[in-house]
Amino acid sequence: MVKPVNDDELVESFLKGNEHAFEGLVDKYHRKIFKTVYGIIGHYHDAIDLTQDVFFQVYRSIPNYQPKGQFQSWVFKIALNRSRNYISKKKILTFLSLDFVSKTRQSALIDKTDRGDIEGYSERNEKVELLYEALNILDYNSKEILILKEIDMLEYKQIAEILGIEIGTVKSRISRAKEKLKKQLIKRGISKWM
Amino acid sequence: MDVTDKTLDICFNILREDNVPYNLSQRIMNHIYVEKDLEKEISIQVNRMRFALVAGMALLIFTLTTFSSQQESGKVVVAYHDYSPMNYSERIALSKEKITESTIFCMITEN
Repeated sequence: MVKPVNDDELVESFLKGNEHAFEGLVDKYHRKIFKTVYGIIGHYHDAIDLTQDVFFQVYRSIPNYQPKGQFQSWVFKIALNRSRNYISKKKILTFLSLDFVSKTRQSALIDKTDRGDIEGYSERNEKVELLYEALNILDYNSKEILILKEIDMLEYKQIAEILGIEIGTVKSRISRAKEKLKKQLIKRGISKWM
Repeated sequence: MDVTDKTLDICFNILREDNVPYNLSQRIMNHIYVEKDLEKEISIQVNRMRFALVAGMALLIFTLTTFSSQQESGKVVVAYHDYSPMNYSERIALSKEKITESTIFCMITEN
């Protein structure tokens, strides 16, 4: 049986000149990072670009990484910083409209149907669109913490480390964020498709 | 209808299962290689410019030094040729420039 390689081993291998080791890290984390970035910034195509930038920054900064088994947290910190910078640069939080989110989800749909994944997609995509709309209405902190906990499935301890806050604060923020999201889902008539 | 925690779980599950863009990991790697090549190219260009700058500066310094030393040599030649007695500071200057008597003799002969 092949022993699973942990992140630090991959980093070490990469630093010794094995480029494929970095591909292993990208394979492992690109989905989570994309969903985090997309969930936060709410723009599909920019999220793709930003995810690429995040991994390029990881690639360049990896010699500075201290291998303590916290590679995932390190990558998430970079992704959140880039997302925050994106938002503050474009100030999209204040100008973000439901129309805008709908359009970006629409373009996502076009991308996906292009690859022949049409069957059963339309209905599910509506749900995804509705959920992202509701999520994007939330304030930044609520959105960020919900994505980390519920979409990326990170543990409280990891979230606390990434955000630099206490575990207790993480739990209370998540609880408050969920209440806010519930209100948004009620407004959007979630009962119609549940 | 009230939205319960279970409803939220279903919602998050839908988002978790939502697909990422096609071939994203490959696109990330391509982006990294392109950026890396670009950086390498920029670094080569910068190094070329640095080399050109250093070479230019070296040429300038060499020209100025040669011109200056030729002028100084001229003074020494004149001083010897005229059989003028050299004062103390002129001797010091000569010793600093490491000009030997044979050099001066050659210069006088050439002139």
